[in-house]
Amino acid sequence: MKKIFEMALGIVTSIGGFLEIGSITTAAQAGALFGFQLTWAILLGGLCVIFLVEQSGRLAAVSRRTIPDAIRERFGFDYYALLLVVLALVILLVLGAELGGVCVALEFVTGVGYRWWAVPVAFVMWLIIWKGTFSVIEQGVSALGLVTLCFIAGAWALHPHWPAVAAGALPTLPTHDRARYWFIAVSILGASITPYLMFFYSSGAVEDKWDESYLGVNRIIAAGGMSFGTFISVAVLVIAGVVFLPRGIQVEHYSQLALLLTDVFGRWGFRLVAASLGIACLGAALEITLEIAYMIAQGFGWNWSKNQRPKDEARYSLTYTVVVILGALLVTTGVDPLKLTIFSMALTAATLPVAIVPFLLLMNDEHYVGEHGNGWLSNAVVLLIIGLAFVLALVTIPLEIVGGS
Amino acid sequence: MRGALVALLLACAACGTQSPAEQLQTELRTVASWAATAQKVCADRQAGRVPAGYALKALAAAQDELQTEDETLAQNSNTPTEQRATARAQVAQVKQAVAEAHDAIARADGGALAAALKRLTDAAAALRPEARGTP
Repeated sequence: MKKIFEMALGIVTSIGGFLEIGSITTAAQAGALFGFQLTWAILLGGLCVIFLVEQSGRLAAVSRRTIPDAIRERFGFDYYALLLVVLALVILLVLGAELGGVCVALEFVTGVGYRWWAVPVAFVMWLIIWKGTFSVIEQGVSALGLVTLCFIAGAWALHPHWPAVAAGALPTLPTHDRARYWFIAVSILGASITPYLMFFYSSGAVEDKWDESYLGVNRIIAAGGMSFGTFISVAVLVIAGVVFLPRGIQVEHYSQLALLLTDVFGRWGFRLVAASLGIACLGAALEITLEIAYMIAQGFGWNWSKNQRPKDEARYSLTYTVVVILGALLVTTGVDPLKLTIFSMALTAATLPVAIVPFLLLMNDEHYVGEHGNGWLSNAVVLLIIGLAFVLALVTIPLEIVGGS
Repeated sequence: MRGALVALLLACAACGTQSPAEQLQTELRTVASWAATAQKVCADRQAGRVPAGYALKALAAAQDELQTEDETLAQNSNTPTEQRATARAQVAQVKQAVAEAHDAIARADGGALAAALKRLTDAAAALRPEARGTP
């Protein structure tokens, strides 16, 4: 009974925690410019993240180690330090984007510029982390994140041409804006396959003291939660394809996101988008902050746990405090949250091999996963998608920077 | 493997290179996108679907972006002068209509907002074929 409850909670948490500013923005951009044509990229990213999250939980349950912990042990501190620097820099940018997302949601509702919200939001975030336990942070915010299901309701109510949506599941070549098409595809993959999500999931499994008896639960949570989450992203793309594309609205500024649901839900549509954006980004920002602190603490062998009091893990607490401050500083500089989001997602895709390849080696190492190692299918799917994202990112990021689109 | 990567790089670089006509079309499409955004914001504000604070911020963003596009068009020496002048005149019409809509919302003047929305609709309709690259 306890396991069924945990499973349900895990799925709810995964659904509520899936959407964040990256997935909302990239899906909306894709729908606005290419209709349903880029649905395949979201599905591909979703498929990959199902495999990766399942593997992260499996590693944690069997080895009782988090991913950073295992990588440091298996590949040595030097490689781990490289991984830490690369990932922490990219994840810090993503944190800025997520914090910016919360601030933008508050700007929608109040009309007060998003930069003014950076410090209050950062303080509230820090307070939640300081006072809250892991389950409060993970499950509480993610449960609130179920508001993002409004996008599925919205897509349904807009009566899109479903055969066309289904046709978008198969990759096709663009007829216009080719460079932009591939850049958005990369950003979608980067928004879906986020190393911090896997690392956070494995840290959560260790915090919740998972063992091998949780392998089934893990599989169901990964498949169920991530699938539903992927469908929410597809719903955002569908809405943008129906609402923005016929009008010729391209998503180039965060303020345009607020218009996604007003056609179908009127005033409530505006409020639902603001609530979805605010809550989803707050959840992601909390996860990222904790994850950077986890990565540093686990790498250096410090005490780390959100279930202990801050005074018992002073260095870990100091780390997340500094991370929150850095994230807030990034927002106060006035960097455009939408541009920051898109580039941080593409950079995430470019850095995926640094984190995922060693992780895959761990998943094939009996010392860590015993008889629960990866099958050839898991290895092949993940390697193929990561390779694709990496090559596309290398090619399209320079093009986007020089304004090739 | 290296050869395939180089081929992919070259293909994508080719994707990223635009002729002057394509450049102009891209600029006009951005302008049309902002005109359509402003139209939707005004219509939603008229129907009470979005708050005034949000509408003002969104229209201010539209004004900034339109200004940037106007400056880009002014500096784009690759495009024939006549085409550039026509495009800039169209952008000016949209900018004017957006500014009127912004003022109308700031003054909570429903009549003025309706008039600005009408102008915006006309300006956006004139832009659309240009942005699509059709005569």
